Amino acid sequence: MTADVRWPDGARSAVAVTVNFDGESVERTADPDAPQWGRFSYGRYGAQVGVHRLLDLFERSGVAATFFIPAWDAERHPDVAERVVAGGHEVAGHGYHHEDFSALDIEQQRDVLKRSEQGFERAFGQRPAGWRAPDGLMSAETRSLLAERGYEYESSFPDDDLPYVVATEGSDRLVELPVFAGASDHHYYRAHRLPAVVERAWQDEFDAVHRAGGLFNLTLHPRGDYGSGRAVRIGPIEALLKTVARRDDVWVATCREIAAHTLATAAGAPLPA
Amino acid sequence: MPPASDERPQWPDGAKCIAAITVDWDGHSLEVGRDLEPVGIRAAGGYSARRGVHRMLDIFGRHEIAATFFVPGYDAEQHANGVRELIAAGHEVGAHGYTHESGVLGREEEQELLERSHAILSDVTGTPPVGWRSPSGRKTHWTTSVLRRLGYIYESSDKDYERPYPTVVEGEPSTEMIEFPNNTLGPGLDDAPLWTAGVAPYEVLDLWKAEFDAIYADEGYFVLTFHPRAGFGTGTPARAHVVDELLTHIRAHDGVHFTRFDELARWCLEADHGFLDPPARIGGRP
Repeated sequence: MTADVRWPDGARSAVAVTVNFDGESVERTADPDAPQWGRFSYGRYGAQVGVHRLLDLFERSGVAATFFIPAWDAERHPDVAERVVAGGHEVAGHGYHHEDFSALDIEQQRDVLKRSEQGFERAFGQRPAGWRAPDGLMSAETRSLLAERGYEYESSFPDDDLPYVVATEGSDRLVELPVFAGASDHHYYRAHRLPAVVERAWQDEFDAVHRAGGLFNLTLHPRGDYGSGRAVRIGPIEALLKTVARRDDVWVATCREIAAHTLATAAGAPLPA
Repeated sequence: MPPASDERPQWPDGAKCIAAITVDWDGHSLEVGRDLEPVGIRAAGGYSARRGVHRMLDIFGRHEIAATFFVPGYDAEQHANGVRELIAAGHEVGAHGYTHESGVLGREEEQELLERSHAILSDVTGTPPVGWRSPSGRKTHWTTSVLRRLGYIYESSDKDYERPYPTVVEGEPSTEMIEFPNNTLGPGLDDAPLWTAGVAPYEVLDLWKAEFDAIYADEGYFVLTFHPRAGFGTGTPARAHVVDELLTHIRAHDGVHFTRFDELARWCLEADHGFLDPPARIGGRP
């Protein structure tokens, strides 16, 4: 591992608790004409039930999380938007309507980002400082576009243990906060793994990342199908957060805090965006 | 209100938790509805009538619980005596499509099939069904108005909440029809995704116990959905044993009220029990 980021206060590793909101926009993207009844209502579950469970958990754990929210979903659920902000969490971009950015050309991407930023202004009174690709899908131009539009970080690439800095030719700089499957919920639940298995897996994954001195970018979803919103799936998250809290050498922070720290301390030249 | 906290629902008998055991019969209707001959590997639906349903009746009888069976009209035609045995044993029979229609149908065709299945179940059991569950979890904007006209008082297809709430009929929350959401693709409390993924019986038992424990400590709304067929279902011996063990586990908890859906629907439709005020985020959607 490169040693170009040192965590603050002598911490050995860092943890970001992130939530990909993925509400009704997920089902609506799949088929805009289909009514969202029955098997197409798991996104609605996330907005009505799951997200509140996660917020309850973060409240009693004293964790400030980062919510990546499609602006359309944020405006559809003002009660959720309000509660997320009131809880001291960061909100960041995740498409306007959970679009597949790999299928959009640069102008279409720009338009979606603009609409997402406008939606954030209405829902949260501010533009997002960070972004994560819906379903992790994007094109080779997307990071440059984000940097040009003033984003401070993006978090979609599973290509490092540590954050790193990229820059455009025009020298706009952007921090990448890498993700990885082992630290997500849907990786396991889509494969029908049990909560007890996920609990063990996350503990092992975190221990290994901690030893390696990396960023544990925990990625959760409030949905009722592949997400963590169900009561039985809160346990693994709570157990992980307790493990993290017991250690005094882990820096738990929002994505924006980690990005700012990275930008301030990273050594060496940025990579091309 | 966020259901993960705050006030608990007011369940029958002052119970802390309800447990609704729901069984989707899903015999050969499922393959027939897809124009597949129910032979060879596609014959697993035959297990329901031959073995699975009887095994469930035996288990439910020993645990002294009444369950809700959702039976496609086609299967009720093929196995009228088997369906009557359910009624005789004190269980409820609800509607579940004619040949387990899995797509979204045109309005007239959908209405005709709902009416046909309704007539079949009424004839076979001697009592019109009052509940419906979508085969495959699809419905249209007009499904519930047809059901309501046929006298149904509940339906159980949505996945968006963890307590009963007024069904949306003609775009408005109804005071005459209650929605019982269930979790199917979770995977949580539906057997099919688990068995299909190769999850072993002991793991499913662990999962369902954990699901029950979490729900018992939370909303108290436990709805299990499984199938008595072979293949993706729970009818075969080791898998049926999971149900048996789960019921023993649930029985060991205080304040659990086992209920058929029709009974629970009548409870929920009484205004002073608190289920008719739609949660602010639900009414009239989607």
